[in-house]
Amino acid sequence: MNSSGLSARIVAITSGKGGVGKTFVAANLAAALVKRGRRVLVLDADLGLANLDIVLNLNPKATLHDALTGQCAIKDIVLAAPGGFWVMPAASGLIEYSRLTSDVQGELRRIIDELSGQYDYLILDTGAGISDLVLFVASLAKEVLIVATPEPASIADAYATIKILALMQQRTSLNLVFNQARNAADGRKLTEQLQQVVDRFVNTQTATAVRLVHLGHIPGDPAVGSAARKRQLLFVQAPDSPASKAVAELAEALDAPAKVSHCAPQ
Amino acid sequence: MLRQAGYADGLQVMPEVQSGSLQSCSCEALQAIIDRLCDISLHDALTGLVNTRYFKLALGREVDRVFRSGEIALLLLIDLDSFKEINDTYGHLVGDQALLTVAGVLTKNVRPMDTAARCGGDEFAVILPNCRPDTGRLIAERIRMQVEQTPIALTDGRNVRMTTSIGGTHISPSRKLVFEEVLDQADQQLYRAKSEGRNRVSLDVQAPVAAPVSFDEKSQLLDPFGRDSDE
Ligand SMILES: Nc1ncnc2c1ncn2[C@@H]1O[C@H](COP(=O)(O)OP(=O)(O)OP(=O)(O)O)[C@@H](O)[C@H]1O
Ligand SMILES: [Mg+2]
Repeated sequence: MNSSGLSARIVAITSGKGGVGKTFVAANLAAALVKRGRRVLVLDADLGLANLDIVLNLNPKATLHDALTGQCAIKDIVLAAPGGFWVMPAASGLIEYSRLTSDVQGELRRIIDELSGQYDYLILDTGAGISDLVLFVASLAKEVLIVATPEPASIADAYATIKILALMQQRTSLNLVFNQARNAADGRKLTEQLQQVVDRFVNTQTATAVRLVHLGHIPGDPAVGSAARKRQLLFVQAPDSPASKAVAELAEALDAPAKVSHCAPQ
Repeated sequence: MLRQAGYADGLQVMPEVQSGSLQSCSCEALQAIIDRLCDISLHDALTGLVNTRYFKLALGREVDRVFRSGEIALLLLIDLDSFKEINDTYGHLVGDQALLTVAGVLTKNVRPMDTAARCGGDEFAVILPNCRPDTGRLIAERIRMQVEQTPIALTDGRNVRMTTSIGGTHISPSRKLVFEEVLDQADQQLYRAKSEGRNRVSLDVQAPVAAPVSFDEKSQLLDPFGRDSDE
């Protein structure tokens, strides 16, 4: 806990496979949570190829990297995003930050600790893959949300991510969101299928079984692409589009206390 | 307090030894006294963990066993950070409590086949037979985190936080070493953990991918999807 005594719910968004909609979910989920009255900050933890600022059409003067090197105070980096949430942007193309060093670890831990005193939710948008950086960022979050699409490669990568998080971080609960899914039933079926394989190959190796929570699905929606091309936030630009409505339901599922999945690493 | 009764006061619980009336003891009673003395000579009085003498015997045995069985073992050295400062600031009773806290965390986190030892001062060691590299890092991190999360509550309401630096080396059948060399390698990792800023784990072998996904898993995962999606 930080000095203020308050503590945000920290949610890491990850997927294994790239390009499945992590950043889309992070930004729009944040806006939907704001609409529910929450104070939300999205931290761009894709330290190698950050582009949350591009998606949100922001023009950062300083980034997370300036905080990591101690050149900037956190409050001078955080920007207001359309949708009413806050953003901690990161720089792109800094290859040295695609590797995790113990200095970066310590600084990230400190920054997240400081931020968690000021918001209800901290959403950590990770990069693709299961690098040690992605796994470290996930380890800083009490809750993990895995984004997958119904595509086989995405399912396989989501499974590998689940397995690693279960075995290396002793997660007992993981949230799943199916993006570009036809309907909720499809998403549920995919989650069940994953759970069966997890029960058979992962839960036999862990002290406590991992439970997958199907948090929601988002349909493929042309409105997503057209908002993206205008560099606008879908949830603001087309609040009545099917994808926006699905994101609102997702926010409700996450924000309703009964459905919360706490899965702290031990 | 965590203090385990008996070790600190080992001799006092055996009045026969103190009074010098051993002649009057039965064979069984004598054997029990000998067992007890052996036990005392191999344990640390404060924490009840095994002491350096036992640790060295156990490490020697484990190094031999690794070469016979082919199973990788892990040696962890755990050092309480700033122990002298804790002692100087809060007194040695709090210092003792800090050591007991570390001992408690170690005991909680080892398997029955592992050996947790206090090697004098603020240094502890754990020998983990048959320990895969990924599991080893996990256990070391867990020990580090749990000590960090178990502050000592002072009577005036303040909390004293402690951290540990942990260095570890894998004892692998592919490199035949004597136990002094193993100890030396673990010591180098501990030094690295300290010099990189303390409160961290440094192990000598990079953990491999922790959770490879087999072909079996993939086919179970994907087969039904292929069939269903055409419905
Ligand atoms: N539900 C959807 N319907 C239509 N298009 C979508 C949907 N979700 C995401 N997309 C599009 O898919 C592309 C990838 O999305 P996004 O950048 O959010 O993925 P990502 O997982 O963050 O990628 P990376 O791994 O590169 O960080 C974007 O062009 C986005 O607009
Ligand atoms: Mg992204």
